[in-house]
Amino acid sequence: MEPLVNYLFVSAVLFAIGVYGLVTKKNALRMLFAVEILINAANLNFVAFTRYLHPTSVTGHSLAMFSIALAAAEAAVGLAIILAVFRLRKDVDVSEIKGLRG
Amino acid sequence: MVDVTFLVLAAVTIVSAIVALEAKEVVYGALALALCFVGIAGFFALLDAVFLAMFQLTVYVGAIAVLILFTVMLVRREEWLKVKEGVHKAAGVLVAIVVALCFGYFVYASTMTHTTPSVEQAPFTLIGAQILSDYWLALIALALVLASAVIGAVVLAKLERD
Amino acid sequence: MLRTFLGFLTRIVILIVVVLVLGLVAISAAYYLIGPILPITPSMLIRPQEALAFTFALMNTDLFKITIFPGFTFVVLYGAVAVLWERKLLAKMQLRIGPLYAGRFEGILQPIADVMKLLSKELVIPKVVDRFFFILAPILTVTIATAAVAVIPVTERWVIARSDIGVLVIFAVLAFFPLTALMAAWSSNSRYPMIGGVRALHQLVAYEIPLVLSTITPVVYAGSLDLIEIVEKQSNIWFILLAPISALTFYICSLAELERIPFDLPEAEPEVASGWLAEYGSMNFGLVMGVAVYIKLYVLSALFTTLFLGGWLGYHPLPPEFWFLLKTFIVTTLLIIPRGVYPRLRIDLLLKQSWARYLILALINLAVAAAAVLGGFKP
Repeated sequence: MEPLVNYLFVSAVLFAIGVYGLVTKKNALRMLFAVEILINAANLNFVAFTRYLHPTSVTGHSLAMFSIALAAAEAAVGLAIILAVFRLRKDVDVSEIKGLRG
Repeated sequence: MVDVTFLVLAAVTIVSAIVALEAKEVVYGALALALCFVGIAGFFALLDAVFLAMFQLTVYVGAIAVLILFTVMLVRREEWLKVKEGVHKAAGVLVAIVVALCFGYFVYASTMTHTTPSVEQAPFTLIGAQILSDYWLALIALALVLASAVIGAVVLAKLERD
Repeated sequence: MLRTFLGFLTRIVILIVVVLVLGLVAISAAYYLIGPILPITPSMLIRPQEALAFTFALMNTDLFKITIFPGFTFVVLYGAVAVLWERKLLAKMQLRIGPLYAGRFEGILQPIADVMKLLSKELVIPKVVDRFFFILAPILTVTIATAAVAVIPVTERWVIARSDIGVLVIFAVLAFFPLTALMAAWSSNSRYPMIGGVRALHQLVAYEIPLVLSTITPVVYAGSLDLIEIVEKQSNIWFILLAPISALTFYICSLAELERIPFDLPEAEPEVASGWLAEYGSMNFGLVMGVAVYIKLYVLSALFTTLFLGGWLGYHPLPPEFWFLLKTFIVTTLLIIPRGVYPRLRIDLLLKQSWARYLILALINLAVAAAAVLGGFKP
């Protein structure tokens, strides 16, 4: 089997890609993709730690399951918001949506 | 040394994550994101968490990727061309590389040098027992969150019929 | 009338009996004529395991299981037989004769004729199409449909991959189909496939949920997600008698997942100009409509048999593989029959039925099963 650190490094690289996407992109859908990549990186981390450090318990697996279900809920609401904003403004550039800026 | 399955899965996951963010067409990005989810499910299977791998495939690929693709296709295509890409792309790439290198250093220089786990992974039937006994409050909260998310999404995305 | 349905069945039975008798004659002829020359002893015919140990060792390898028996060749042959059986059955229901000319006896070689026709047509790929996904979508559909065959057990020893979570693997595979339908529809770059594709997506996603819920009821009764254990727990009573509403919901939702009439709208010929497959040509079309749909038909029929009808359990003199095939064939016939009987449902009625009716039906039986098992009921 692989050393634990290899799994953690893959998870770290995915996290970095997610952070890059969230910081750089202006398209709302791309930012949603980046958030999903971040959540997946964290789930991979949980499961890797459970396998190597506490193989007799499944706490990491339950946590990952909760995280996956919550990510589904959040993606649904986020996409509904993007759809509603797009219908109103015909644009998904997040730097153009500044109606509430003080 | 490192084995081939792990390397191939890592390459597929990371490359499809990058393609998901960088592809010109958002539909290709969404499909690459689905491939990334499949790669993560492969990682779960490699870590002896087959139940979780099937769960990830069913929820992420079967529901979330379909939802994302649906939304991407419901929006007219010509509008996408007007969104300019990020201006400070080089700075973003630099930040990402610095973050990855820092995490890599912390991880490789740490004391977590476990290679082969000594014990078998506990069976997946314990997950249900644990959720229903130790984390029952989280389960009920999750049910309420999912219900409110569904209602909220339906209300938000409804067409105004006057 | 010489060409009625009963006449057709009689002819098929006569064909099978003639083939078996000829086989027996050939074996005894080989034994008596070649026997004295080659060292074939009578005990080899009575106990062929001694002489044919090599054959039995070959049948236990993984390669045989994947490619031949419960795997690819068997499933594709089953699909070919299902194509012919569907056309003949529908023809008899509509007072027609059905395919008659390919092959001298009752059109037996019609599936081969269909495949040759599809292969010999020109593969048209329109210019405005997204080439990569256009060609990838049918290949992916067939791949994913075949992936589900890996966990279906024909008997305890005839299963490709025995896993603790067989039922979940089927769910995960079923979840991929909306994605490939959407890929095929979007890459066609045209209006009618898009409408058909979005409707197919709605239908597949909406009917996945009652299907999954009605599958959980036998799991609750058997106490395990392993398909082989679910069949073994049915040795006293079949689950279709314990969970009839779930079986009915599973049956109706499999009709919807297979995009069969009455849930045919995404591929309706006169309505959406053949739906999400409108731009597909000869073998692209053949891969999806000919191969993948019939592999899905086998998977869902076999799943119904395993979950509700007791899999391979049957009376002893006949082998368990025969019982499994018989039951799966009966379920396939039941899935084919509505095509000749019912009209097509409109898309909004279809979706409303899924959310308002079948979801509740599946939940009712699940609640009854959960209450029974918690109260100490063991099947």
